[in-house]
Amino acid sequence: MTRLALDQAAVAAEMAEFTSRMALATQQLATMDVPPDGCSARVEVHRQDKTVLWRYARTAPDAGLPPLVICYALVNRPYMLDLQPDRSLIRGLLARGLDVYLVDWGYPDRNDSALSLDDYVNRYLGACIDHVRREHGIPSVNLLGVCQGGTMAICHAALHPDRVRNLVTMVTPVDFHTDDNLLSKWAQKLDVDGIVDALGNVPGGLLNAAFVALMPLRLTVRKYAGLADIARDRGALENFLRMERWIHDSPDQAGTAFRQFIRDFFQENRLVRGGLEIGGQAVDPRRINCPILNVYAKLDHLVPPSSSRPLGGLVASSDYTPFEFDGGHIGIYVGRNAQELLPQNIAQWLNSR
Amino acid sequence: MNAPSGVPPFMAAWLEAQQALVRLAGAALAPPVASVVPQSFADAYRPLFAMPGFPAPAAGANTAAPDTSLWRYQQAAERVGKLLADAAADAGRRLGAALAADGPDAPPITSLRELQTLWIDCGEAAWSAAAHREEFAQAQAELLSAWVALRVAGQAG
Repeated sequence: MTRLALDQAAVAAEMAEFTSRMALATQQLATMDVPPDGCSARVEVHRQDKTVLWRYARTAPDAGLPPLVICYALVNRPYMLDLQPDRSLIRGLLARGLDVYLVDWGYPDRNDSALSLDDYVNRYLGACIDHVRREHGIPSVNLLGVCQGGTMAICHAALHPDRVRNLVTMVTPVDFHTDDNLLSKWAQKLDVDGIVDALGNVPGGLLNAAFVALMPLRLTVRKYAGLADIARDRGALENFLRMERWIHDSPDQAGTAFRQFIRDFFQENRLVRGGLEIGGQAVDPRRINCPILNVYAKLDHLVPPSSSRPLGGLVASSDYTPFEFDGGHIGIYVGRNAQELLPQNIAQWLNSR
Repeated sequence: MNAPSGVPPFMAAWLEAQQALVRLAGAALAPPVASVVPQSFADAYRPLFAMPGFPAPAAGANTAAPDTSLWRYQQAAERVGKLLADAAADAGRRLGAALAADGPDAPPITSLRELQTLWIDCGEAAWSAAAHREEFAQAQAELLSAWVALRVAGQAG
């Protein structure tokens, strides 16, 4: 033990300080509340079952671009994109004159267990895009898919290439069988039929536990012990609470769609290997020939870059732009450097097409 | 001290983290008997690798009939528990080796915070090595399926 140079008195003092700070932090947190719906002004413009399409109020002169429809994942809630005024991709896009819409899938309950990927990708997302097309009198929209929502956006663009003018994917899994994809390694062994047959819907808490288990010490011990460092900073504690609220706000997953996603994507990797069908129609990424901006995060532990990068090789688009963000899966939404960089890049890229 | 039931997740995790840090400090300050300290470290890692929602049966509780869903769950939990214990032991060994390291890349550790950082890094490295193995994915998937079967059997009465 050559490196240990701990002094007992110093350790005791450090522990006392740590305990005192943690007590203060938890006292402070107990007095706080944070809204679960994001921070930017918006109105509901379309609703179908539990799916809601929100339109955000622009905060800058119109950039003159086709509206941007954001398709979020079925896992977790989309307010991560608008978490707080100084950490909001949506605000950044609005500030650049974009007309932003957000698809919110809501919280599936047991009545929704039969919802399939066809419902989500074709029916709900399709209806949202149709609403925007009608409202603006345009044939196609700009579509931005986030994480699993990016995979769904790719599928939609492949099935309905005429409806998508430009496609932006963010931290989106494409190749589910890359060697560093731990979540995929675990999912490949799941008896998803047995689980869905028994449970109907898959509890969000179960998925959350799996996400935390990817890096159990960093995502629990390090994160929570870090509260001691911000115990006297109310703003930082509010940020912490917002993030915690989002992390633990995990909708259950409609069983049928979950079964299809695990089987077709995680287990059989059909987007890459071929043979993917949604609603009885073949999903062939080679039908996508619109410009694509593929944003992925260099340090992403959930969707490693190796999973996102192959998109360029699967599509017919000659206009394909990869963009590697120097951060992780969460940092791409809320990291300080992301706030300027990401909306700026997306707006600029869209503007030049 | 166990986290009381019903506390918010962040509070439960904080309590766990604090307990683990206390255990770690105790182990680090104990007489440096090489064969004992890594085991103490492994014991501190073990609960942090446990999967939430899947309590392991108590030791010696594997008494269900072999054809029941409870027996299946016990078997699956035991198998995962063994892999987690191996990962914890590996983490303990890694931390022991890191603490014994010498040279410019191994500066003295003068605070619990530095020790905790090293502890976490060693734990994550051991976890990652274990969790990427097919055997682990298989065992974890079987635990989930066994839990589902147990739940179905319970609902059926």
